[in-house]
Amino acid sequence: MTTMATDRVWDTDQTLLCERLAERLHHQGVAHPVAAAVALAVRGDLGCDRRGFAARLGLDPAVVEAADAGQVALADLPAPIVLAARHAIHLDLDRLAVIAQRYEHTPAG
Amino acid sequence: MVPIERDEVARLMAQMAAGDQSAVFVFIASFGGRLAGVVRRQLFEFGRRDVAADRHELDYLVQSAAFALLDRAAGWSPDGALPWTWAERAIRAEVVAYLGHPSVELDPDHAEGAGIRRGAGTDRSGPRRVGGAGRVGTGPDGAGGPVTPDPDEFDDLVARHPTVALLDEAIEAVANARDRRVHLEYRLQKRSGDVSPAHTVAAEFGLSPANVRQIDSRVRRRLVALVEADDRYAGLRGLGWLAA
Repeated sequence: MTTMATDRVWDTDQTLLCERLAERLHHQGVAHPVAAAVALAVRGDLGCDRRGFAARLGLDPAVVEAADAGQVALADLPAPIVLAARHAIHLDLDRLAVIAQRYEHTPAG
Repeated sequence: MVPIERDEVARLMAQMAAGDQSAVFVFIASFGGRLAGVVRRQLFEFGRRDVAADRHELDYLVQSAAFALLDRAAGWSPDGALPWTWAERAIRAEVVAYLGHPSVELDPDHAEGAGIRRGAGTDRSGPRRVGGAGRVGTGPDGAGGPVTPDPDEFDDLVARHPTVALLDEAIEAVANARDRRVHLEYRLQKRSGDVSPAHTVAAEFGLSPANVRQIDSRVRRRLVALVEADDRYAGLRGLGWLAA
């Protein structure tokens, strides 16, 4: 079923969206909320489920699951995710790294 | 006009309902225009065409609307209204929280013509506190009401230094009382070496850190535009305070 929309793609500030998602994840007690938000952003951009995402980037599905869940620090994210974050969706990883550092000093939850 | 795929809407809402937060990125890319339409209409109702016309602020609110849907996705039915219609009240709450208070901005020119002085804007009869103990305004955001005199360091600087006084005047010209306080506190915290100024200020004002940064960014953008456009503020051109 269809109805009408006024446009197709909304060009959002992806870095800000990551930052805000990370904020929510931090409140949910996620250990590495910024890294999780980055992984989710890249997967969201590709429109894949975890298994499809892992296959597409040549990663172990368990690694993707850990990244999604915020069990991997930003500095330890797999290179294909970091490359996609930087070059495909143009995330400002330097700005996000600063925010990630701040969360390390702020209790989660 | 292009067709909305209701199946795509349902798929993404189901994904969000299942806890997959990556869907929010796709949802905004695909349906951000629809969310923007709802947000824009609500901003018009509040008389905030200025916010609606600012792409950065509109985008922030589109993201807020998407998060409102993310939080409520489990309650949505694909047989009912489209999500942004179904969640319009929740989106409205996000808009209200962002604006601080649903009010029409006072037009200073109109107010002066009518013999009215802006409570938080142009009344310079006494010192005002930037944060904490000093309470401004009568509404939830403190906009538009009287200001409790409560001297502090910033007010002392305003009194002593013409440039600081001019800066304070410019800030008052572009921001409501809450945004002025958030901006000042954030900038002062940042300059004093606080490693997490947004978190510090967010806790004080009951906002999220991202919202604090957004408010600061908004006030700075407006300040820069004012200073460039109005020669009364020429003395502020090139001031480090206006830089990110």
